Amino acid sequence: MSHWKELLKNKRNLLLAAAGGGVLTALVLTAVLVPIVGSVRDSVSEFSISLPEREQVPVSVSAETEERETVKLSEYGGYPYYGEEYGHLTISGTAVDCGLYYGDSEVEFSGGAGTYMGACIPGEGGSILIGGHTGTYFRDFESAALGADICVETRWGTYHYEITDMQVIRYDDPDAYDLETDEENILLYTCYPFGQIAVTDYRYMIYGSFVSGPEIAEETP
Amino acid sequence: MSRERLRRGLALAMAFCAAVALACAALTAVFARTLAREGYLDGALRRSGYYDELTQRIRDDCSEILTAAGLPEAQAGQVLDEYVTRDQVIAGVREHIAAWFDGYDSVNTAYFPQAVHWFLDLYWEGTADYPSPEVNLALIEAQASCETIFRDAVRVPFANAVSILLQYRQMIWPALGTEFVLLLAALAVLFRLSLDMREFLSCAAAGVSASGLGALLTSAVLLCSGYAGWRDPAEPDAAAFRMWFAGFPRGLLVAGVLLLAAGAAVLVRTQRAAEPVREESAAQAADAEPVREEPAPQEKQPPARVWAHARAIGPARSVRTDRAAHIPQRKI
Repeated sequence: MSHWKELLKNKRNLLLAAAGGGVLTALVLTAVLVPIVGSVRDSVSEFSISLPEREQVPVSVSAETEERETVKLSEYGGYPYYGEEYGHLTISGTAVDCGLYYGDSEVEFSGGAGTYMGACIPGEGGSILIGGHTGTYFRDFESAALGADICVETRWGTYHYEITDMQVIRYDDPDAYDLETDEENILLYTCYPFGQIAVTDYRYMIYGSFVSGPEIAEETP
Repeated sequence: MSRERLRRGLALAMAFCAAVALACAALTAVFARTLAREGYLDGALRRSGYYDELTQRIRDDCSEILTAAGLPEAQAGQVLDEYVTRDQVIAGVREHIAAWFDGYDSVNTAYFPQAVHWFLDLYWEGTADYPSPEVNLALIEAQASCETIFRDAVRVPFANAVSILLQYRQMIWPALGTEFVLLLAALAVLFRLSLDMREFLSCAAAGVSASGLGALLTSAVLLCSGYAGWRDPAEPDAAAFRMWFAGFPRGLLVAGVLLLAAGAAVLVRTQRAAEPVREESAAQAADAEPVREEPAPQEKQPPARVWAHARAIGPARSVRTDRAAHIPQRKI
């Protein structure tokens, strides 16, 4: 005990410096951890993995025989604006379960999946191009299977698409997808190989054909 | 600012840099042994009862599907006893976890294989009648639905959180290497700045203690962050998430305690080693007393050459002792 007393007496300045250094070190570590742990907290608290209800299980309904319901976007808050989280995306059989944003910059990708603004939105009757980071929300693309259901819940309706094809493409391949078609379909893409942080030249593309969902009615301004 | 104060300031800064590098290395090592490790996640899922909860939920949902498809309840139970067991659920989840942690292998396991034929056989046993085309189609759709339910359920739990942390796995070894190099550099500069080994060890021990204290405080912040409530308690993986995430701050706590103890132990040892030096200094001071008496008359008018020589020796040692040891007595 006398050694500790002597230590405290003679090393007072050194101990004070160690204590101060400890507090500063803790601040540095906390500054490093705050954004990472914050992302983990947001991802864990926001999304549920509850098992799908019977109604959500994909049913092969022919879209041609059913008359498609129409909705007016003006009754549901209008067209999405840039950066808005307008929906939720899930793929059956995978862990893909995230918010859907309008816009495809890093800001949108950091919170979920981003919709390319040069294409269509669900219900418009064209190609919907949606991207996400393979390191985060689109990590489980590898579990997707042909025939699986892509469910897009928006504030104006719920849409279902069926996966018809999956392939690895180059990022600059102009023939990999068609954004000019009138037939409603969905295109999901992420960087390939899966889980990479760095940008790569390849993309993993999932193609989905329309199954069900309301059509957006044209409105005169 | 005097050179001595500058030296001490730089030594303090180097000790702080070493503390930060050591604390970051501890953080990286704890992360690598807990949240970034596949076996750790699997262990947390087993201990939390997640697999049992998941198996029961899958069985309940599939049972509804099968009975709605026309299969008698007893036969539906037989099917589920065969296709939805705890071992199969564990195997399914582990397959997905392995695909994420080990490589890019796709998960292609087919679940409920050939279940439709068994459904039909069981339907025949239960009803002694051939199923109608509608019932046949319903059983086929029931197989597809049950397979989808099973695949949806055996995915990686709290997947977005796991995927966010997994992307940092690639940075573990580069980060450890950088932190090690920074630590060595800081210690090398500290050694260069120190007057002797004792001072170096004292400063280094203070740095180690600071890193331990920093790790302790950070783990306290994490433990008090309320992580236990982040996941909705109604979710089947809520307990598993609590158990999985808790290992990281607890590991950091253990690392902080070890570093703090190591730093304190070295400080105590340097303190004990300093005691003979203090005794020597006291003896030297006592021996130097008679020497002081002799030059007393000369001190009134000290020669400029003597003082210049004394300044050249440096501030840490007694000028009078040096005079007595090296400068011959002369009368002015």
